[in-house]
Amino acid sequence: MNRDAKDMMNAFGKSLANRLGFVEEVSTSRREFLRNSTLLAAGFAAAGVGGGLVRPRIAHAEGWSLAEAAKPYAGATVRVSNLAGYPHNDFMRDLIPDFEKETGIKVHLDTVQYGEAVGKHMQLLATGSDEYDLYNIDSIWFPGYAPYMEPLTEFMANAELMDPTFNYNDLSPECQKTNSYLDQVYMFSNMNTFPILAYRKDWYEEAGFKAPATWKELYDQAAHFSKDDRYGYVIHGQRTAMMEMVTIPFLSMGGTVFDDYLHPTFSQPAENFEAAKKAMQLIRDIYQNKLTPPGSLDFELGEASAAYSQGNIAMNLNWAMIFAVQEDPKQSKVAGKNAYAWPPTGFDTPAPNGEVTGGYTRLASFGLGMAKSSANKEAAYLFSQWLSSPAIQEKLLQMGDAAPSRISLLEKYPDRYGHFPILLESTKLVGKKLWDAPKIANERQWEDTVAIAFQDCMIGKIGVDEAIVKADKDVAKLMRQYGFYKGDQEYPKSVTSNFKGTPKVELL
Amino acid sequence: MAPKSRLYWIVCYFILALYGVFTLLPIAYLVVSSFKTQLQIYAGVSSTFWFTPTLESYRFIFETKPILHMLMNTLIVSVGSTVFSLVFGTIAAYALARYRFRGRDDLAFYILSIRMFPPIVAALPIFMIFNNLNLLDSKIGLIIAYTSFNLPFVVWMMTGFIKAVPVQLEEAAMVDGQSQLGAIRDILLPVLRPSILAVAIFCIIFSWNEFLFALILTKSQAKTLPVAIPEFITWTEVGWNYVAAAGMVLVMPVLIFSFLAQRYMVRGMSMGAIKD
Amino acid sequence: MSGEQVYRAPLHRRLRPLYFLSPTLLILLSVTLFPLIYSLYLATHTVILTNPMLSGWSLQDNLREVFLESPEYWESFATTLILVVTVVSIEFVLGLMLAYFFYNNFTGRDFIFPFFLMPMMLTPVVVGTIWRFLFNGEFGLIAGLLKAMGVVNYSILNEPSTALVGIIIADVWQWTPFMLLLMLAGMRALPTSPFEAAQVDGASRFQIFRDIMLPMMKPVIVIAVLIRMIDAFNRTFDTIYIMTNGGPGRVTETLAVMAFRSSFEYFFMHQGAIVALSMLVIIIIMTKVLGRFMAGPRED
Repeated sequence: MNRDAKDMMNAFGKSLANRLGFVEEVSTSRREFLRNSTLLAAGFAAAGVGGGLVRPRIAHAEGWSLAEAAKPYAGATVRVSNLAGYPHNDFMRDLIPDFEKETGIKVHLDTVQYGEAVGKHMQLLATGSDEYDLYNIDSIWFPGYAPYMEPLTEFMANAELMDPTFNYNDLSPECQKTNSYLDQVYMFSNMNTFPILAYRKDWYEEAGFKAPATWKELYDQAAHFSKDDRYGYVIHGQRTAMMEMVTIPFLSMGGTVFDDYLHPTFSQPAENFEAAKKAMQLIRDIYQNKLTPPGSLDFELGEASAAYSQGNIAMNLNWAMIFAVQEDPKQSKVAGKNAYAWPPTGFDTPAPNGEVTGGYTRLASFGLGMAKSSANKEAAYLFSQWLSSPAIQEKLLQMGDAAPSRISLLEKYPDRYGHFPILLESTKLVGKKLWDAPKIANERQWEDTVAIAFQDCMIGKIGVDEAIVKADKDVAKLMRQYGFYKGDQEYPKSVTSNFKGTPKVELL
Repeated sequence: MAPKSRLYWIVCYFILALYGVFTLLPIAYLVVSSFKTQLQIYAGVSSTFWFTPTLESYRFIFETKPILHMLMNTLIVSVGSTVFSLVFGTIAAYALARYRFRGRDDLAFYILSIRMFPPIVAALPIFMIFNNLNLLDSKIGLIIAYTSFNLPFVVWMMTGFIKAVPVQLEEAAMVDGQSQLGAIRDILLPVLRPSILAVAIFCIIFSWNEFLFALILTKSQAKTLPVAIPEFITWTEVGWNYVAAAGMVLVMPVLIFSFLAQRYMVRGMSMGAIKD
Repeated sequence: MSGEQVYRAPLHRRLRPLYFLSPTLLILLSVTLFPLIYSLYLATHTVILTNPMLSGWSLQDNLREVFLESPEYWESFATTLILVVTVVSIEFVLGLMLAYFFYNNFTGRDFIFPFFLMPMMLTPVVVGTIWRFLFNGEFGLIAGLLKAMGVVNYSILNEPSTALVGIIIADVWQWTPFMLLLMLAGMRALPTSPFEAAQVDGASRFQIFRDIMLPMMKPVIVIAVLIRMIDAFNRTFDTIYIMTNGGPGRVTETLAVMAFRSSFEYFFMHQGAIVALSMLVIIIIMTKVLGRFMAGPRED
């Protein structure tokens, strides 16, 4: 075989390890590799250990100006791969000429569809392409990107680059947490979104109901509204969304997804199993008793929201950014008719104050991650910082962004959208409402595995108990393939998300 | 042949009508959807064909994406790869049809097997090669990739067509002092013209609609329209009206072209081959 | 290449077919050789993009993971086989039947014919979206028809028993025209004299069709079925991906979807490569079997 080809093929293996700073050549077989505990630590780092709240050193230089800071980089082009279809990514286009004029740095935006983004990004990153300097990343997938990403911490400590008016701590602490990794800041959040319960104010007033405090109440209300071509609730049953449908009630009833050893805990210990059964049964009843539109097993959040926007559904548990569409009279028949609330907690008794240790409604915070392979890191940093700066974020909010991460903006515009008070509350109830999911590099795969088991249950192929046990077994199998179980290692809570302290369970 | 019975015609028309509805209904649905707003799309079954049409979706897609640029890319890449595939493929087919040599059938099978190669396997390695050769996001790169899956099709179809043309025609010309290439040019190619056109139409359809390679190998400069279409299906909304409008823009040229050329399609195919 | 020949011609004459074939072979080799070698490399090593630290030879582990440790591969294998066989047979029968109708002269034939070809010209992404919306249980046209017929709110793609049927309908819709076109071309190419002779001998229309027309069309049938089979196996991916994303559960997850998912969503490149290479092997076997069964498309 010719040398070039061989070199190229090695690109995935050895040279990447070097690029990550692990100079040691790794060429042992996978099983052997896993036996080596020091390497396990290295592999583990790449596989993804998330940090808690990181306190980076932030430089502060009086008299700093963007134009001055950008001088050495004028003429550079920052290339960004943006996710398609997010309003703030579209609005951004109109503001970029200002940045270009002020700095002399050119910005080139490409868009990629959300569903294809991670695949396309990973290809580019893994082959060492320098095509993009910045990647628009949903924090949910960040652990997979981590080996290829440059932390921002050093740039933040650099007085020549750090904007003293940036006010990093104005970003929601939950977003700071989820956009950090291994005690390094990787992204400045420019979108802060998690499932919030939207419901029809008018219907609820008429029926004399209040927003449901427990899941049983939610079910009963949904059943009340489900008649005459109306539905009480809308499920997002697509594989990419199915896990959240069940984990939100499950976690709110005191469940956890993993113990400290990353052993899956849907079916054990007994309390978890009880909670999981109740949550699964509830969602399954909603589906099978047709309290949700019949096609909803196929819905992504967009379709769920579109269905709700038609005006014949009572409740829509959906991600914050989508409410901009729902409140837009051009796209929705229910604009102005909605109220917003935290999703319920507990099965028939609500959690105290509706707070759950470790949270239950899942956070996703988007930002721009910088590629290690970028050749214009400083210019890219300046752009990323400019985009997430208070002034620009405020402009984006005025243009219609519905999921800001800055506390000051949420305080300044409390009435901009109905769900803003809840976003603001989330910045104050750290660790009590928002669930920062386990940090596993192959996020998509283990979630898919859980989703398949749950979908099988929804369609009646398997029973509730069986589905929960199957989810645990299948996830355990995958985790073993990833190499997590070698050496009976205990993982930090920020990885396992086991903030409730579920004790160690035996693998099924 | 002799005239058919009345029963035959009743059955024939009935099945054709039934199948016609099956074929045209989804297309009608595509057409009407492209003239709807987001709200009208979800408005329910009764208003599927009864609504106030609007050009809003078309305006939106042309405003938000460089549709014409991408359509042009699609055209250049499709025509480019079709021309290359036809030229090289026909020459290769000539060799397979007119010569006997050892390993010929194996070679023919190898060529066909390229089409069996799951594109999903090929995608990443081709991405790596193109990355190294600086062919990413270039029309040339895309033309090469498309040629690789059009060639086997051309070779196989053209081999059949050439075999169907009696070899005596060319031999006679060569006896009359024509060179081999001259005989091909003056005798064989004119006879094959309809077949070539038919194969060309298939090649254009295949490349025009190709998705996976375009998705992986392009970003902006060489991006083709099929790749841009699913971008209207975002996380926040399924912009079916936009998908429909962009789908209409994409399908119109190839539809018009095919309508004009369809007479040749069947005639071309039937010139072939395909005779024993 | 030269070697012993059936007849002895000068070397430059004997090499001529090679000249003719060389551009094609060069292009195909350059585009496919590296992918093939690379896939073999992936299949025998551990390559996980999200964890670039892992590497090295692990063929046995890989094979065990894909083929033995879980039933997923075999579920997808069965799904794929059902899909390909059903789709190709329905398309073949429908295509043949329609071609037979269009073979005869009737008023308006040339006018309506192009309309029957339209689905083939749509990009699969659009086809997938059309059918996804048509089948939608809430506002889809087909659900509306079902509702009118008394089946209340049935969402075809959501039910495990019918999701694959939905995919099959969409594929049949899109690719029957391809069969129709090739079959019609094959029929028109046949000389009519044998049919006339048989008719004189008193053969029924069906007998003529079955005993004379079909055997004469064998070469075109083989090519059409072969190409459709290969494409159904490899390229139904886009439509499925849009329509059901492999769901509900894994009911519509074919091998192509599984390979894509392993490689580009889970980033287990080695598993994706193994699934894809197994697909290549299956297609080659299917092609060989079909070729033998049909006595080969390339008889002189």
